[in-house]
Amino acid sequence: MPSIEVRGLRKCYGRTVAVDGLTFTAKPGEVTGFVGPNGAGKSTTMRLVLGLDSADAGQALVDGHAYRRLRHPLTHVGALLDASAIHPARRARDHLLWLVHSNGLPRRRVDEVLELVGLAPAAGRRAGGFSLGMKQRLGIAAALLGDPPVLMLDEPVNGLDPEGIVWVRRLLRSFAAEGRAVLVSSHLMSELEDTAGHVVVIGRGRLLADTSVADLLAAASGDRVDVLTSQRTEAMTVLANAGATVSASDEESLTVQGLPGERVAALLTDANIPFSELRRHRASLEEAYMELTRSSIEFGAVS
Amino acid sequence: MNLLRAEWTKLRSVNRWMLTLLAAGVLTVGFGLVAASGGRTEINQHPNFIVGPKGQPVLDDFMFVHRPLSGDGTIAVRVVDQADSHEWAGAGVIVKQSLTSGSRYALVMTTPRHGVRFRSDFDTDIPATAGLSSRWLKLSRSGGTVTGFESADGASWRELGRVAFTEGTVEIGLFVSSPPHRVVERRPGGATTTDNPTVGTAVFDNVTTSAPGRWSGSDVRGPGGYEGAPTTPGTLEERDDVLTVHGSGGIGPNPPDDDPVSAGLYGVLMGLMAIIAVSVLFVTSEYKRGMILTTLAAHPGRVRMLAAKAAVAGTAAFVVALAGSAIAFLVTQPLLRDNGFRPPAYQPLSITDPSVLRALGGTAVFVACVAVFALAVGVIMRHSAAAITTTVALVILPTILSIALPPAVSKWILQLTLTAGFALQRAKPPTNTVEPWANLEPWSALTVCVAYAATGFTIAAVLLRRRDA
Amino acid sequence: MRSLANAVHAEWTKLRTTPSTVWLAAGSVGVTIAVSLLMTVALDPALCPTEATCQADPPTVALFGVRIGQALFLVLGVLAMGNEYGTRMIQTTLTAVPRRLTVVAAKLAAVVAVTLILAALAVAGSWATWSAVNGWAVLPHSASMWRAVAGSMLYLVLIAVLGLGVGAIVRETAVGITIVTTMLYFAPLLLMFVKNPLWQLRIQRYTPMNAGLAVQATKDLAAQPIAPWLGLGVLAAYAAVAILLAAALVKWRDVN
Repeated sequence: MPSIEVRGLRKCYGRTVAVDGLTFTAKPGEVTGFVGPNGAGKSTTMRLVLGLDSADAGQALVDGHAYRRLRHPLTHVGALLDASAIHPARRARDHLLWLVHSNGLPRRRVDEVLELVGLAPAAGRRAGGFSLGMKQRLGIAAALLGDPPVLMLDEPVNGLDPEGIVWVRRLLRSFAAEGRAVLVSSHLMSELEDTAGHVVVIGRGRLLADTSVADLLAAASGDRVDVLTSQRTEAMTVLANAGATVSASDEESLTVQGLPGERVAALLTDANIPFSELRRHRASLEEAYMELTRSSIEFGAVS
Repeated sequence: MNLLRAEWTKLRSVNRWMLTLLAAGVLTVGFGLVAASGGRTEINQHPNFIVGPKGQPVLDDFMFVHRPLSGDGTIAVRVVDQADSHEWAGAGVIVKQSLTSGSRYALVMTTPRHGVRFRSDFDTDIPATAGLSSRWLKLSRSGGTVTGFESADGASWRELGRVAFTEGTVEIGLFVSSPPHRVVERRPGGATTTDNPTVGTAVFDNVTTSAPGRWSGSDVRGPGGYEGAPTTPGTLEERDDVLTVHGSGGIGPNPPDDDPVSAGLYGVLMGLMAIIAVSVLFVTSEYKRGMILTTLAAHPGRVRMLAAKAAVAGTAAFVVALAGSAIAFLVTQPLLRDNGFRPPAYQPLSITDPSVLRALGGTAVFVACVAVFALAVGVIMRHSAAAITTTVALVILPTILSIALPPAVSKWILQLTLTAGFALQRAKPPTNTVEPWANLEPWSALTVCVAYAATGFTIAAVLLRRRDA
Repeated sequence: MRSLANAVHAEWTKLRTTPSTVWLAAGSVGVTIAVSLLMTVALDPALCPTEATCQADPPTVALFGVRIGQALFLVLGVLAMGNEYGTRMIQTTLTAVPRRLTVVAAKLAAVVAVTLILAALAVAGSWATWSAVNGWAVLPHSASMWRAVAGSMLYLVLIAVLGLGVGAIVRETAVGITIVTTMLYFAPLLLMFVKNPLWQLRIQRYTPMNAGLAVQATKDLAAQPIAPWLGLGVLAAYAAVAILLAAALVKWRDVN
């Protein structure tokens, strides 16, 4: 099954290096999250994959071919880069119509994808009057027209309401389950947490991590323990005195580093400090990412 | 005002727009140079004029019924009848330095449609204020002054004008003149002008003069050989005391139609295109990325914002146009002089001449009005391409139309469209020639331009208030 | 070439679903016929007793509207490309059809097809009003008249192509319209002033509007500055250069 392959990709705009020696693969059957702060080079990478800009070095291949060589590319890759790249005076249905014409797709696909994204009632309206969320849905609909085995979406949940976000996540997971390759970029870690199985992290155009989400979280979590207690200050003192590094993560819990879980339990019991939960710390993707990018210079790729 | 400064900052902070304004100036100068290097005239080699006493191009052809006069003297006459051979045909009394074409003169004459007039030395023209009924004309020379009079009855004379004249022997008498008739033919294939000679007739009686001798009839003639030059000799018929005279030709300034100032400003049209584009974009950019919301949030007074934009755009356009025109004038005049636009046919021009300043200033006002109008159209249409096309169309397309249509229709078209503004580029007075806007009074043209700007602005302001942003 | 056919189909769909296209289509035909009618009616009948003895060259009067209507044709051409860049839809277009030369060719084909039909309507309509007002036979009756009519249609198509090329080069509708408008209309104005015969000849022979309209000449052909088809060829050269340059730029530039 097809995938997106990026090898040694490099692109400079003037003196700015937007993408620097990037190599990774978005494999079929899973959702690959493509994360990095704004300006890290995510959109540039996607544009290079689609052949909108030409790379200075390296390759970007879809299903083993350069995008520009694909016939009926919409049947190979469905892409959403910029939802507002539409003609505002044109009706939504007509926008999808010329797209099906351009790739020789059957006309019924227009109505099928409109149903799928829930835009069927608004199909006859001018696209310029759409809200941001509706434009995103239209963009997703366009990406799905060719029923492609590969999907590449740049910040697809931007502007969607919570219901919409849930819907997108479900859609992406179902695509991956069908064996398609899905590359989703975002600068918000949280939304990828439940969706992506694999994550590619970039910062300043360079690859920082290319690993499964589980491994990333495990690496970031390290040897830490979370404790839920109402007497945080006292607990912090006791644990710190025992040589641990303690940080407060939210109102009720503490994260303890340097002591095994059982030792923490014993210390707190001895000090008569009540606690209700003791578990291994589960880093969020957010934390993992923060750590990665903070030490991005020294860090090699975690594989 | 803060608004003005805000809008000015908006304009100058977009490099593309400032570059385009600069380009407008460059285009004005550049294309002015192109026009000037291609413009050529050989009118000094094949003149349709004679050189007058002050070195200016003049016509001096007419039928002279004359006697010599040394010292003081008078002549009085009644013009019984004058044929309407040309609206400026002349019949009357004249004192002339000699029979040489181009020599000094003073005359009083009747014309078919412009009443009685006193004229002298190719540069003075004083109309009678008393209406057209005067038929009695008199010239009186005393010492070094010649004075002209008119009367309704031959008894009470009103002075029209006077001029200091040469001493010594001069020729005094009656004259008949009839200038060539200009026909401008406009057709889709192009326009042509033709000058046809005309012959005037006048009947005089009650001729009294203190000059001794008998009447001689002579044609005063210039170089001849040009289009419209008199072809028939003048005639004199004396029967009893009634003289019937036929004469052909004109007496007066005869500058060429072409205006080197407007020639050097041919590039203004190109600069105008760039300025229209900037003006439209200046306002449509607000709509494009929703900036209008930010702008209106900062200053809720919509009409005031529009006025500030118009002021900034109009001023910028004025400055660019004035500078561009001035430079274009300065660089093209030497080039045009080399190409034949020289004395005597074309008098030397300096940028400080009032007519030149008027042309440059008028051009700048024209461009500013178009800029404001373009801005207004941008607000009305909210679509940059449509607004630019419409404004450009209203400026350029009528030029194509008016060149090809008959004069009556052309004049209409000019009065109704921005093309009238091209009339402001002329430093010379209006003249009936190939370019239809050359025949439009500058004030007329200015009114059209200002009207467009004002009307456009008003409509835009009304729409802006009514509409949702 | 299946993919080219698909691309052309898509471009045609784009054209017909853009509201401005409808306005421009109506306007271009309407304005051309209206202005031609104006000229026809304004012509002094004494100058033109019969078509054969007409002092004015009949197509220059009958088809005069082309000189004005061409403005709308050029806008149509510029918009076909300018819209893509202005709305950033070019990204979507190049994603759907990544071969850039195919996109240019498809746009060219669509624009030519549409403007050919509109030009035919505009020119035929103008000629019909000329014949109707003057009470003459509707169909052109000499080879040179047919040439003037057919040539005028091609003229309008070439103007639209020129607009398309310039629109792609500058990537902005407003600028493109301004540039092409000045390219066309400045030369005839200049012609009025420039008396130097060498320069006059150059302007009449080598500028797009003057040269292109030479195709309308049916009389005094020897005295014309340039032969009819040759003149149209000059305009075609301008359009060709614009399109070729546009194609090269579209192919090699980044889509920014």
